[in-house]
Parts: sequence; C-alpha cells; structure tokens
Amino acid sequence: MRRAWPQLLRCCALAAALQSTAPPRSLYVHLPFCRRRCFYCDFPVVVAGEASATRDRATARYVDLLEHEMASWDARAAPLDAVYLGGGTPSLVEPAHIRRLLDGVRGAVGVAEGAEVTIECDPGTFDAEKLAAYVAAGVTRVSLGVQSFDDGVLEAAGRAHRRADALAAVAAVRAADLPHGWSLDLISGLPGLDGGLWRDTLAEALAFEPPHVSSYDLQVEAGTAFGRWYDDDGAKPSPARPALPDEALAADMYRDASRLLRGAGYWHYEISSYARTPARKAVHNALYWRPRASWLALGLGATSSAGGDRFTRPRAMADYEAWVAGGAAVGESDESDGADWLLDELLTGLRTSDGVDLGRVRAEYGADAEAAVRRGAADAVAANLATLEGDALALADPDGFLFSNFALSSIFAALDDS
Amino acid sequence: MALRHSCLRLLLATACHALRVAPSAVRRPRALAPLSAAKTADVSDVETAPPHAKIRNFAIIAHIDHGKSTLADRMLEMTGTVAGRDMQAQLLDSMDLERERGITIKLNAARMSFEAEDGETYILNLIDTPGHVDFSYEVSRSLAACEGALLVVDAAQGVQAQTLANVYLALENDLEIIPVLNKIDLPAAEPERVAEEIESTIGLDCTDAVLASAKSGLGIQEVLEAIVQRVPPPPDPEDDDAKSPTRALIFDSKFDAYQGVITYFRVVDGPGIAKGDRVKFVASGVTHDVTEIGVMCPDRVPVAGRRLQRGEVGYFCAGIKSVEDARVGDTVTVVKSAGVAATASQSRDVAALPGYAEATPMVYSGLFPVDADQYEALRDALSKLKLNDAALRYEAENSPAMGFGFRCGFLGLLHMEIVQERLEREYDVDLVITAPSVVYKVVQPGPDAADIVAKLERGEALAESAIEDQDDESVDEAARVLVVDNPSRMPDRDRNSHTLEPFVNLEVIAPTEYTGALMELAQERRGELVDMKYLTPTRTTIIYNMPLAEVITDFFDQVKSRTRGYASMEYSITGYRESPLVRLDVKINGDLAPPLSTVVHEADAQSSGKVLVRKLKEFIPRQMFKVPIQACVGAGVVASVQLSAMRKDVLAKCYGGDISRKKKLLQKQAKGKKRMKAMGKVNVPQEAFMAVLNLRDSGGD
Repeated sequence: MRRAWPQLLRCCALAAALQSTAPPRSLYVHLPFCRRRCFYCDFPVVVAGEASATRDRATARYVDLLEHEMASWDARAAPLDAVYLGGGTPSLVEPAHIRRLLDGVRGAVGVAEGAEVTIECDPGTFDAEKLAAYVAAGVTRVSLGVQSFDDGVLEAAGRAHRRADALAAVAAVRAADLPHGWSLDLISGLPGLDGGLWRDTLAEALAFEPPHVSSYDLQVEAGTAFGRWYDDDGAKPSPARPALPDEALAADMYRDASRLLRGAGYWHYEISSYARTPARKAVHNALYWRPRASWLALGLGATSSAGGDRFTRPRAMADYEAWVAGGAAVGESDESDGADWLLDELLTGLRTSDGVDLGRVRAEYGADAEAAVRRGAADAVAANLATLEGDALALADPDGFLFSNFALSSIFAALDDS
Repeated sequence: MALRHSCLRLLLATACHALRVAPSAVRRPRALAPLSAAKTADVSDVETAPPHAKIRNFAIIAHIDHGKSTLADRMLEMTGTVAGRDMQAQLLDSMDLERERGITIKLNAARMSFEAEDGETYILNLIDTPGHVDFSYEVSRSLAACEGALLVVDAAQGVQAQTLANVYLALENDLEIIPVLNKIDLPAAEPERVAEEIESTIGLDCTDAVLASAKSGLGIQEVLEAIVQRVPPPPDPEDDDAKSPTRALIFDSKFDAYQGVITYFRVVDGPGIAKGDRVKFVASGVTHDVTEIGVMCPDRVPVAGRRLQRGEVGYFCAGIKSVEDARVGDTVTVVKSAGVAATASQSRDVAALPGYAEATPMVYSGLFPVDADQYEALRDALSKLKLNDAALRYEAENSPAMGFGFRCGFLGLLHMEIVQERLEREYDVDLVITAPSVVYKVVQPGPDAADIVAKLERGEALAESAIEDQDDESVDEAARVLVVDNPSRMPDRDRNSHTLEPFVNLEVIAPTEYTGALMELAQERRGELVDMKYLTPTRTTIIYNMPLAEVITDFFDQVKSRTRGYASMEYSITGYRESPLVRLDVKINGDLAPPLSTVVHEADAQSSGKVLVRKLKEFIPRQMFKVPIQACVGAGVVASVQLSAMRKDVLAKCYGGDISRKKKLLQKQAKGKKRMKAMGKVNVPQEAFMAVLNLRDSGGD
C-alpha cells in the first residue's frame, strides 16, 4: 500500500506530461562503424575494419534498418530544428548513404530551413571532397574528434589518426565554411599528457579559431582497455602505456582549459562545452540539459526521449535488428519504475552555466522539494562551489563543475530524506 | 560488514534438507497410524494423562549442520505427529531468519506419541537446545527439563567444540546420552572413527550408538526405540510427597501478538497445572490466571479437561504482556487451583528450582538510525523486540556525531546480529552500527581497591549500601566500581585505578596440522594456553584463557581461515581479570570521534593505533581538503596518517544515453552519503565504525 500513492501520482504526472509534451524537434542518429576501438571508448560501436568495401555493405544494410525504424515514426512530428549524426565514426560512412538517410528523415518528418545538422568526423577518414558531398546532402556542422595534436598521446589512446591527419582535417573543415560552424573536440587527462603539453594543445586549438570547443576530462570506464590497464595503482608506465596523469594533474588540466578558453573569449556554457559566440552553442546537444526535453533517435543503442521518458534501443546489432524487425516499438522507458524527473533536471541542468531555476522546481515539484534542493546545495554554496542568487542555482566555474558530483549527490541525499 | 560475515559463517549450513526422499523401508506401517494402536487408555489422546512411566523427555545436541532439524522432522513424520504431506523443510525452525539461512538457533518443542516394539505407546517430548554459545544459559535450562539427550554427530565430520560444550552440560544435569551417528550414507562417513572419537573425548560408550541418516530416513525407528528404552521416565508422581507444591520449570517463552506470552514448561514437582489455575512466577513475582494450557503436536493443542502432571511438558497462556515476566529458568507455582486457594504450605515459600539466572548482556554496541526521523521507529521496534527477548537491553544514547540512538546490550555476537538484522528487515529501520564492545569494570583508587579487584576476579558479590548513610560509605564497594559498556566512556588511564575485563575459556578443535597456526593466533590475541589434548592422532583440542574483547573481533574468521574451515570453536565466560587497559581515541581532522574510540591493552596501543588509522584511511572517502587521522591515548598521539584531498569529482560527458546511468551513479553516491555520520566536517561511513574489529597487523587484510 505504501507504494501505491507515488505510483498513482506518477501516472497522473505521466498523463500531464504527455499532454504538455511538444513534438520532438531534434534527432540523434547513431552510426556505429569504426576502424578500431579506442582504448577509452565504451560506446556501442561496430569495428568494421579498414576494408572499405565490407564496411560499405554493412553500412548499406544498417541504413536500411534506420529507414525501417523511421517508418514507425508518428507522422504528426514537426519538422526538425536539429539532427546529430554521432558514432562510432560517422565520417566513415559514404556521402551517398548520408544523403539517403537525411532524405529519409526529410521525407518522414521534415527538416526545417536553417536547421543544425551535425556530423561527427574523425581526422583521417575524410577529405574536402567528401565533406562537400556531406554538405550537399544537408550537413551544416562538423564535430571534429581531434582529441590531441600529439602523436604519442594519440597512439597511447588507441586513436587511428595522427597529428598530420588532424591538421589536414582542421584545414578541410575550416575551408568548408559550414553554415553552423564546427566544433573541435579534445580530451584532457589522457596518458602521456602533462600540464605543458595540454596547454600547448589548447593554444594550438585556439589558433584555429574553432566556433565551438568540447573539452572532455578523460573518464576511465570499467570494461575498456584503459579500465583494465589503469585501474590498479601498481601498473608500471611503459612507452606504449605512458602514465595516466594523476587526479590533481587532471583537475589542473580542466582548470587550464576553462581559464585559457574563457580567456580567449569563449563562453563555458556546460561542463565540457565552449562556444565562441552564443549563437554557436550546440543546438542538439544543449537539448539534453534542458528539463523534460523530447528528441527522436535512430539506430543501435540510441536513446530517444518523450518529455523526459527515455528509451534506449538495443546495444547489440543482432538485438537491434530483431527489434526493428519486430516493429521498432518504443517500449517501456529506461526507468520502468518511473522516471525521477526532478533528479534528471538537476543532474542535467546543473551541468550548464545557466544552472537550475528553483522557481520552476517549486512550481513543478512543490515547496518541499525546493527546500530539500536548497538544503542539499548549502554545503556546495558555503564552499563557493555553487552560487545561489534568488531562485538561480548554478555551479561555479571551474571548481563547482569539477566537483559537480559532490554537489549533486548532496542534493540527491537531501531529496531522498525529504 | 566483516562482523556480520563472521557470525554467519559460524552458523552457515547448507540448506540441503529441502530435498525430501521417499519414505524408507525402515518405517513400519503401524508407526504411521499410532492412534489406532491404543490399548487400555489412549495415551496419545492429549486429554488423557499419560502414566509417568510412558513419558520420555529428551533434547537433541548437535553441531550446526550435523542434521538436527532433519532428524527432528523425520521423527515427527515417523510418529505420525505430522502427516508427510504437511511437512515442510525444518518444520520446527520457527524464525524466518533461521530457515532462510539454514541455521537453527532453536527448534520448537514437540510432543510425539510412539508405539514401541513392546507394543506400548509412549509420549516423547522433544525439548531442543539452542546451538550457539550466546544462548548457553538457555541450553542449560532446556537440558534441566529432560532426562535424556540425543547426541547427533556427523559421521564424516566428527565431534565439534560446540557439541562438546553442550554434552558436558548434559552430563552435569545427569542426562542419559544416546549417541547418534548421522549421515552414515555419505561416502566420507567413518562411523567407527567418529565413535572412537566420542569415546575418547567424552568417555561415552558408543557400543550402542545408533547409525542413522536423517536425510534418507535410515535408523529413525532405532532412534525412537533407543529413546524409549534408554531415557529414564520422569519420577513417579506416587513417590512425591503429596503435600509438595507444584513447581514447573520454564524452558522457553515467546511473545504472540494474539495470546500474549506463551510459556513453555515442564512440571517438575507437585500435582501440576490446569486451565483456570492462578500461577505465580517465583523470580519475577507476578501472578496470572492460566487461560489456555496444552501440548505441542507440534502446533499448540489445548488441553481442557485435566491437569498437566508431574513429568509432562506443555505450554500455557495467561495474558502475560512481556517475556520479561516469564523468563527462561524461572519457576512456576500454583497459588489458586480452579478457584480453590492452595493450602498454606503450598502457596508460601515455594523454593525456586535451581539454576535460575538473569541474562547478562556481554556485548554492547550503538545503534543509530540513518535518518534522524527514524528514531521513533527504532525505539518502537526495540520495544517490540524486547517483548520477546528478555536478554536484550537498550537505553537511549545520543552524541553530537551520531545523533539520537540506543546503546544496546546482547548475549553475544549472534544475538547482536539477529537483533540488528530483524530491525532492518522486519521493522525497516536503516542503521549505522558501532563496533561491539565488552563491558569493562574500573575500580577507582582507594585503600581497599585491591580487595575490590580481588572480589571482582573471584566473582564475589560486592558490599552494597542501599542507605545513603555517611557512616556506611566505606562499605559501599559497589559504588567504587565503574561499569563501562561504551569505550568512549572509559576513564583516562590513572596509575592508581584498576581496569578489569571479562575473560573466556576458549576451546578450539581442529586437525592436528593446524595446531601451530592456531596457537600463533591465540598468542597474538593475548591468549594463555591452558591445555592441549589429542582427541585422536589427527585431531587436537586447544584450550586458552583469553579476553572476551579479543574474541568478539574477527577472531572466528581468522580461526576458520587459518584452518581452512576445519576448526570448531566454543567459549564460555569465566569472569573478570585485571588488565592494563587504555582508551584509544580517534581524531579526524582534529575533531574527536567518540564512536570510534576503543579500549586496548596498554602494550598494544601504538600498534593498534597504527592499524586503526590506516584502516580508517581506506574507509573514509576523500574530502575536498586534506584530512589528518590520528589515534591518541590521552593527550598523546600514537599514530597518524593523512587522507589526501579529492581533486575532482565530475562526469565529463552526459548526453541523451548517459543520463539514466549517471543518475544511478549519483544516487548510489547519495545513498552512501546518507549512511555516513558527520565527525566534525568529515563524513564517516558505516564500514569505518567496524574498523576497530581487528587492530592486529597480521590480521590478514
């Protein structure tokens, strides 16, 4: 009996959510093919090797699956404002397939004039010509996975490209003059990096004046090669496996990125995201950090959301194929016992420089919830890791971002108590 | 939690009893229908008083997992007490906790009627003994209610320390002991060797030992026959002095939400008890009217038309609110029988049956709710548990660090374990638990301090002055003794005061090859070798005197690991002894953390302090600042480590597919935070409170 009430409330909330949910205006497409798996990667990828013919056949079959999945969409969906082709390595996919895919999307729900259509590209997998063909197919933005300009660091991370590939790729992307610009993606804290090398990496990146920079602090995930190599403290560094920067050094790298990029005029609008101008903020990605957002998704392991109710597609190709063959039904949400939307909003909202509006928390979740959030945030505010001005709660840059889990877990604990 | 595991491992038994096999050929048809076998008077009818010569009261003594529950089940089945189709595994295990873990603390009592080979029907009353050292007092009371006992020994494993201790108790109570070698159908069974072991260790003649396999039903008939033939019947009521008042021994009592306390008893003397009698409990002094009386078959069957007589075993309900009023070992007497007051000689000065003692908690720990607002729920839960557990003690305790909670006293580690588990499971209270501690005694300085110490060591009562009279001050010895059940309250070391701690007599039985390893362990734990004997050429028993404080650590875990699980262990409290003890305090970030205080031997203070701070460093999560962790004796720091500052705690990527997973991660982190208690600015998790359990360098971590 104790559990019946929350469930009932959740049902009411769900009904309200369905009524209020605007149709999704954004789409994520997962293109899982890679030449090899990078040592830090825990994404659903399909290692398709270097032989382009085999890869092409596999890609063609995969795009067929995506088209099938699209056929299950609700035709009432509005034209999209953003499409994101992520991976994997989408730039391994031949432009003809990208065109067929985007044509399919345009046919199914439409893509609005001036929409942001991003493709993730890896250096060494494309040239100016291929890029031009992507643009002709409808691509308007590139997210370029440079990660590092140092050959030793790239090799130690298991990347397939080298410095020369990165420089050529940057040149090609800059020359393409993309309508929504491009993002230069870096990873700090990689094995072999030190403070000086990282600051050089940032300086070199800034010299290309990228409209957007994503700078990720390396997370060593269980189940990855890094997870196996760098998990125990006893691992001895070797030329092939240089030392992992320690936590203090990695934290300094994060601070350096924030300091140098902001110094160069960039807006640090999310823990790992920087925009040269407000207009260059990533349209699709920013949706993930908005409360109760909706977006469509296509492909292996991809997650869609209907007003905060997320659904993740099967991560193994055979399972995904079977799911599509079975009608591609968006089934029970990832959290079948009911999504905890307030936690989602806090977890995603506090990643951004805008933070969370406690007025909204009060209106949507009640005064008790708001009070608990304020209680939970008090320690972080006292430690200057967060700012609370009126109803605006936000983490401080950079230290609040660096300790975001500390602040969030305290807030979660306070909410759990209330 | 290391402690939790140590107790459970002690008691874990494989739950293989669930496998039921077809009734064996041993079973005879007439045993299935005992009701039809009645001749003159049907003694199996509960309303008929059985002649004393047809009653057999017996207990079962067995080591954990040697097959006690299965044997009891088989006897119930074979005597037709419970029909086969109604059998469920371990019928007499009453607590869910016991059944789930395959451990048996104590079986329910049961009355069976059995037609023996001589054609007569006998009433067999099984009164079980709890199989754990924490409950040795209850064992002694159960045995006192019997004339005989089955000694069940696994024919593959042989005699274990626990079994030995209970057999000695049974021998002290003059019980007839019937050895039963169980599990003889196991490939590893060596009944001859085990029989020899029983003869050499206990001096019990095993010529007539019964070979059995409770699991497959072998030898059950023989066990029942042996009980009839070898266990003496209770004394003849005719021999009794007619004027002697009724005295019944309470061997168990349980609280029932509908009927109040159910008192289980055996009539020792006098005419017996019937429904409507007014009974008095000699030790607790309370009087109640018996509203229902009956026998256990094994479900309670009321007896309305007669008295339960001398030698009989049964239960009664009398509207009693708490088991504290009907304690195990207390004597029940009748003050008014069916409306007629007992004669003057019957009602006055009825002497208590020997052996009654109030349960004394030996182990204390602090129980604090994780959420402060669960304090009321915890208090209610403890008071409900107390209704059914006279040995449980608790009193409110609060500290700035832990908030409001309770200091609880237990008979031992298993008892503590059971209470904590029930609080969390049955009452849904999340707890932070501090490490268990023994009860220390401190004799304050004075000219007669040495005398008081000597008295405490001999276990003699101290002179006590109830009257606040200044002249009497010198004889009020009790007031000079400080009883410390919370290490943080141990006074600072004073050269002129005397500290005492409880000691135990510890017996470990293990294969001879592990003797060296065990002696090394015992030496590390301040043990003094008392005796070492070869049971057989391959098995040895070692007896030590050791402080109880050393035993309630991970000691049994260590015994198990150093003997690859081949050892069994038993201990009994022998009394208090003076030891040079000091309080070891912990300072975290400069703040004293009283719940982490512990009491150690003076000579161990530095090494224990080093181990403690090192362990705390592992358990306490890093903070955003450096945290010094120090161990201190008085004002002096004996060991110190530094917890380095956490430099980042961030999830770099969080896109659509990551949200659910990262939320779970944060929820886990939040849950961990809730289980922590703030010591100054630093949050200390549950595990850290148990760090004091083993402060030996060699402690295998």
